[in-house]
This record gives sequence, structure tokens and C-alpha cells, in this order.
Amino acid sequence: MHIPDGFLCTQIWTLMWIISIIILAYAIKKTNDRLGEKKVPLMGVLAAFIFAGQMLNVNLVVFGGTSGHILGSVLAAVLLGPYTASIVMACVFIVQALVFQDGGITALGANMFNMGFIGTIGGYYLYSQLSKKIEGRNALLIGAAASAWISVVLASFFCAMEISLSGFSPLGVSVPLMVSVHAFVGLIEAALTFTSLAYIMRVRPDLLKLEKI
Amino acid sequence: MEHEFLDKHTRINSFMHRLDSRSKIITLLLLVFIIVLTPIEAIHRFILYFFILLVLFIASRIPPVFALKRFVVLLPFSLLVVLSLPFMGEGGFMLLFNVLVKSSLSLLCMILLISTSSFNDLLAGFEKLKTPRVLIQVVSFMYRYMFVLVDEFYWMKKARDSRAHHMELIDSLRTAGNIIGALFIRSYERGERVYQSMCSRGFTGDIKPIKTSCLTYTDFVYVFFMFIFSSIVSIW
Repeated sequence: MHIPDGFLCTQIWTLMWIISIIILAYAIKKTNDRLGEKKVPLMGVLAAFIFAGQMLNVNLVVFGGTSGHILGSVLAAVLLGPYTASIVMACVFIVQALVFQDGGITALGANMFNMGFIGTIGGYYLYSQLSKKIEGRNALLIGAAASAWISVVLASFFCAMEISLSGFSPLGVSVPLMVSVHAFVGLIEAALTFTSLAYIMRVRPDLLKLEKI
Repeated sequence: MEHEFLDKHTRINSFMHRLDSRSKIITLLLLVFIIVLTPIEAIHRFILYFFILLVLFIASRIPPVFALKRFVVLLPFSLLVVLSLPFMGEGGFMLLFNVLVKSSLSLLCMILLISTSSFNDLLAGFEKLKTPRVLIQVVSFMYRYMFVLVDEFYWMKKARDSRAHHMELIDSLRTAGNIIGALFIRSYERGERVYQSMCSRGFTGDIKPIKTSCLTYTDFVYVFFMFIFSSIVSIW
């Protein structure tokens, strides 16, 4: 879902850059107020964790041998809180764009928004609402998994919209194509968010109760 | 382990590698923006941009095969545009041409940028160009630990594969979740350890670079030339 340079028109990529810069600036301000620069090493290590976690491909025999990996934005937000997770995810996309050319520079704003901030901020909000509503021991896990699925589907929807509004693909093609593929990919995201949080809950439950910013 | 994909060609000694990272960041990122903003009808401009990138590329002595392999990242979205062709009418091929030309040229700029300076120099350059410090610091930590964690991750993956050759979907999802969860716990603990050991050595939130770089005459000539070249081409 990493959009390369040249696939978005000027209005769209500048708009997405502005939105992302505003969100990122707000997140930096929030974390600076609460954490100072002291937690920088921890944020760096966790950005590396998201990066490494994204390398794990799950073989999907069911879907014709394709493989999918986790984005991790909801997972990061559940563990760290929305603003810290936003900075962490932004850094992951910056490194992917710079080092691996995965996603373009002009499209970086759009990529950070689609795959990062939708999950870290929107997904986190949804997760906190859902896990309050659901009863039972697994409320947290189910809430996180549901918002992980929704944030992946939303991300693909936004991605398709941006490309279509740029005029490179009609809405009727890009939206159904991207969204239907990512409705499946989102299931993996949801399952991995669920299982990895369940593992952390079993092994180090204290890590789920950290202060979330 | 499998780190050959990073930093591989940053130690070649060439004209491009000797330039200060700031001059490369400014000129090549500027070129990406100019290329993306160029109207597609102006084919002669794209040819000239390609020409200058080719010259820089040859001056950088990066193996061409390495650069060509990087073009894989363009495939998924190009495919999306190709699939849309039947619905786009007459202008469709022009649009496909547009995305292919612009994305390939921008990709070339980025390959040149990343393969001609070490990542630390690049970050130092970005820092001097006033990128927010938190981002620079998080990214530099991330870059240091990426290798460690990717290794750790491969060991767990190897352990999984040697114990379970073929798994059903549910099992494979559960194991994958366990691996990610374990990786998080290990990363978190490592982060804490690193932070504490840095504090005990006097870390106050500042990271001082070991090597300070300075701009040379070659940098000024190169940046000046690139500015003149791109302004002439973009108004031609």
C-alpha cells in the first residue's frame, strides 16, 4: 500500500503532507510535554520493532498462496498510546521511503496518514470505545482486533481514493479492487494484533498497563 | 545475517560519495519535486532529467543491477493503473506513461541519495537542514536497532520453521502472533536497558556527532550546477 512518487496529483499530495505534518507536530508536542526527550531511545527501539515485525509474512494457503504482513499501527497505539505510536509509525515510513524506496517522498504524507495515523489515532479511539462496550476478559483483544481490521480497510480505501482523485484510476476500479484485497489482508492484521496482544497479556501483562500518550 | 540490502554501496569512493550529504539531500529531493510537478506533455524535460540522473549515476559508480532491482516497488500501483486502462478511454495510455516516467525518475533520485551516503551522514545532513530533532533521534535509534531486532526475529522464525514445517492457518497465525509479541517484549526490555545505560553515562537527550562534515568547493559547484540545470530545464 506504499504509494510511490508520481502516483498522486499535486493537490492531493500537498494536502496529505499538510494533514500529516499537523498531526505529527501535535503528536511531537504532546509527547514532549509528557515524556521529554528521555523516551527517545525507547521509541527508536519500538520503531525498529514495528519494522522487524513487518517482515514476518504469514502464508495464506487459503488465498492462493499469497502472503501478507502486519502494519502494526493499531498494535503500536494499543501498546504505547496514540501520539507516541504516531511518531513511531511516522519514523517507520520515513525509513522505508528513504532506505528502501518503499513509498515516495512526495507521497510520504499520504502514506503516513493512510497506513499510520488512521490506525494510531482513529484506530486507537475506536479500540478504546469498543473495549469499554464489550463485556468479558477478552474485551481488550477483541476491540484491538476489530479496530485493526477497520483501520487496514480504511487505509486501503483512502489510498484508492487518493489515487482516483488524482485521476490515475477510476473510482469504480480502484476502490473495489483495493478494498476487497485489503478486507482479507485486514483479517491477518486483526488476527496478528489479537494473538500478539494475547501473548503479551500472558507473559508481561504489566506492559499493557503502561502510561499511554 | 541478511543485511546486505542496506548500506551496501555507501562505501564506494566516487564523486557522488565524496559530496556532503546536505548538498545531495537538497539537490536530489528538489529534483524529485520538480519531476513530479512537471507536466507530462513536456517529454523533452523528462529526457533531460533522465540524462542528468544518468550522468550522476555513472559518477556514483553504483552497480546498475542493484538499482534496477529496486524498481520492483513500483509494480503494485503500476498494475492498478494498467488494470484501469480499459475504463480510462483515450487518455489512459498517457496517464500510464505519466506515472511510469515520474515514478521511475523519482525512484532513481532516491536510489542515488541513499546509496551515495551512509545513513548516519544522511541523518546528520537532515539534522543540519532543521528537521525536527525528535524525528532524527528516533530514526537514528531505529536504524541502529533495526539490524539487531531483524536478527532476533530471524532466529525466532528459524526456530519456528525447524519445529513446524507446515502449519494450518490458525496455528500459523497464533505462532506469528507469539513471535511478534515476544519480539515486542524483548524490544521493550532492550529499550529500557539501553536507556538506563545511556542515563548512567550522562545522556541528557542530546546526541553529539562524532564526525563533523563541512561543505567544500565541489559541493558549491555541484549544488550551483544542479540549480541552474533544473531551473533552465523547468522553464524551457
